Amino acid sequence: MLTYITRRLIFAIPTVLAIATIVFLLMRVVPGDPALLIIGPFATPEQVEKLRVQFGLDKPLVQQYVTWLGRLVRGDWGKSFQTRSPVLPLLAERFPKTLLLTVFGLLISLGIGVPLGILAATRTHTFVDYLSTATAVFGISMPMFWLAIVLQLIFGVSLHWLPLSGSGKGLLTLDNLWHLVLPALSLGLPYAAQYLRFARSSLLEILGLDYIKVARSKGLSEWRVVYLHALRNALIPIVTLLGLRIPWMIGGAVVIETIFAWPGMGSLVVRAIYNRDFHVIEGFMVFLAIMVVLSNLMVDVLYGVINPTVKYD
Amino acid sequence: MKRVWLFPVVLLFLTAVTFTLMAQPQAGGRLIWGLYEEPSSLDPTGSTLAVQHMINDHIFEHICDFADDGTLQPLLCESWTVSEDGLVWDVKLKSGITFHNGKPVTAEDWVYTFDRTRNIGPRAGFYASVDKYIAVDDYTLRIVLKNPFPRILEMLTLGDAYLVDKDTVEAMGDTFGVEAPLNGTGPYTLKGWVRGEYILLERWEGYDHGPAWRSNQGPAYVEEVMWRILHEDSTRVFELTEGNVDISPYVPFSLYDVAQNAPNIELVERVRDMTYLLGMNTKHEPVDDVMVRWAIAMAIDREPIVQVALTGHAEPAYIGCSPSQLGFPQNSYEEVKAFYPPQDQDRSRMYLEAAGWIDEDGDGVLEKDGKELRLSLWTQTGAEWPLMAQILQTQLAEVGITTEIITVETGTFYGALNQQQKHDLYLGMSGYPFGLDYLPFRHHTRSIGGSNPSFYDVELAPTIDRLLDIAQVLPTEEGRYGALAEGLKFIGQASAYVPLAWPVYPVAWKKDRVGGVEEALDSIFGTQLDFTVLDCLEYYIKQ
Repeated sequence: MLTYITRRLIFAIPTVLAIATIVFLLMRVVPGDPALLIIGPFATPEQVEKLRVQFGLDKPLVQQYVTWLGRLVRGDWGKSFQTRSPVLPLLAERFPKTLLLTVFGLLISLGIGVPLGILAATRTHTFVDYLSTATAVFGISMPMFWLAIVLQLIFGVSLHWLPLSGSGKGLLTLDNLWHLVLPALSLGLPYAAQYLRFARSSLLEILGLDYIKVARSKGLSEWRVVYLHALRNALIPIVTLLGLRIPWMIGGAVVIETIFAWPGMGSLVVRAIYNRDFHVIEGFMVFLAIMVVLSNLMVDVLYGVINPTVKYD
Repeated sequence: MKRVWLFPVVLLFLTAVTFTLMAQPQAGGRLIWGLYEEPSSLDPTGSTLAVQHMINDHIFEHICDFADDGTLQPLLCESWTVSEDGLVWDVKLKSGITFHNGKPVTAEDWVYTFDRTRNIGPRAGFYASVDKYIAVDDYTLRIVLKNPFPRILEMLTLGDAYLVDKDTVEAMGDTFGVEAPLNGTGPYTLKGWVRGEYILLERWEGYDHGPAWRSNQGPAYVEEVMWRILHEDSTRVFELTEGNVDISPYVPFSLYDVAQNAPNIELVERVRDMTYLLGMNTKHEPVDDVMVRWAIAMAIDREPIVQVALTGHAEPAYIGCSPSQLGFPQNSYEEVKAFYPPQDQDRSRMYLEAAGWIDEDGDGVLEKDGKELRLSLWTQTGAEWPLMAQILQTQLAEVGITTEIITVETGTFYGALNQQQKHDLYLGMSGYPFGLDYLPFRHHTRSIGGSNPSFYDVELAPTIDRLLDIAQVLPTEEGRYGALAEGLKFIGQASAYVPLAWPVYPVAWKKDRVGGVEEALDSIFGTQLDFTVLDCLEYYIKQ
């Protein structure tokens, strides 16, 4: 397994570099001059050009790429055009808040979606099943930003139960966690609907297999049949979905962070996109690529844990 | 018994004193702003963002500035004299002014500041007439010009010309403007900045030299000012109505009723110093023909644009300068307006016919030499822009002009106009408090390829250029604004830009908690709180 993990990590390097290259090229192709956006409309053409030289944007594309790549592999992710500060510390400063939001969003989506999916699968064609299905359809259909604003209106404005925005004081403090409730719900609930559907269909399939019939015919309780025999195998597709959804959630956090003024990487990147702050965007995409690679690796490792017959050499 | 009458007299006196004291602004408290955008830096030369200016005005000061009545007044100086040839300005500085760290301000600091402004500031081109700045002595700054420029001190009230301390700038290096200390001379110091969350300012107890037109010369009443970064409009408005934010300098029209219906919220609108306009690419046929440009201008009815696209929160604009801009021709408005194409669809059709455009096949679209009159109309993404474009499309169709609407993301819009140059028409908005700067920025041929994407290469361009140039250097304000008015007339005649509407700027605040806002809005610059000089001295938290 260790060899497998090591090999995967080594192969991840060219993958991440390829993604970073694509992003680099895309940023240089997209219209909009960062120098002009930063210095403003009153600047003289000479000033704009001076800033472009300062940013290295006057150089040929290939030279820009080689310089950028050389710095990237040495751990220098460039400087933000806007703040003139290094990108890596800028992202690192925001990363914990994004991680917190993503983790709690994930916990909500799994914590609601999987149990409800199990409930629906074990009570098929009952009111509980139909209600779960309807909830799932609703959850999958509603846009995340819409849900976020509705939750703000209900719990923040009408009921005054929860804070409307901000992240409170500190990290993982009570105040911080209190501020996290609405953003995490907004992020997690739409994905909970997806896990619900997957859990239901996956478990239903497993419950129809012969070995489950054997288990029941042996007189095992339904609880043992479902949770000790069927669920483990039903988790495989859920884990697959998990691996795909982690990067999606980080991307989805961009919208949630903006609505709730949650100071994570997502809100930083949104401003960077508007301002054509190339290095911040490139840095974020490299980070996201690394997250995709790591989450896929985690999923593969989890397969092995769930199903010991799955082996990697 | 003889002194019984004393008791009600004393009681009355005490009551009067109490009420008087209660009516006085009380010191203390924290004022919380909801900001729609976070500045990247508070270095005055960092950018031209309005939000940066709003915050910097708490921390830094100018050498002189505009009073609430629009006249230029000394601020950190006492007076100035000008040589007969207009080339040498001697500015007598106030003594006793210090930076926040106690270091006295001298003329050397101003030389450093202004050299920095003209070398790296975002408006460096505005100071092209300056030859050099000299510190004659500790309290005399000399400005030597290459050519007479009566507006030089006006230029030095811009957001990049705030006084900075050389020692602090050099010590902080790249972090100047993003970390404390900033070391200005203003009523507040930077206490903290948590990126993406808030900027926190703290009252400077040593501030005592507020401008004469302020009711409070210092220190400021409010102890701390917090700027919460709330990009999302709905979140910002909800935080205001819930009482977690005290002032929001921008409320989107779609949320007006939410703000207005909330208890204790005051919402005030003022016409902005900006103009929505339709620009025409005069390098393209057929809009290179002035008759076609006039026809387009005459086909436009501004009322639907104001009522529908801008939901009634604007005024129709008939000349290329907003009433809130300094230099608006207050006394000759009708005279200037007469030079702009009137709204008249019948006349529009007549102009088009005179230019050779006729509907030969009866399909409602004009043709000439077998070619249809088909124009591209470029617009930005956003709430009002596509609506405005659709309204214009309908109105132009009524006179036989077909338009294709092309929507471009806002961040790349102007770059696309300048670089691709494919537009026939475009919708834009711009403005500036000073008409004398705004009009050249928009209409001078030297702005072609930059802020002037209409490629203003038309017959009247040299005349417009000369009038806008002379408006900069005439010795009296009356002369300058008179030349500006003449320039506006020719701009109307050229019709490369059609003014459409003057938007309003809505400010909302909690009136049961915050006092002094009305005084700031009464300023001639009260159209936007980002340009009301040192209004932070007026605000207070009501007890």
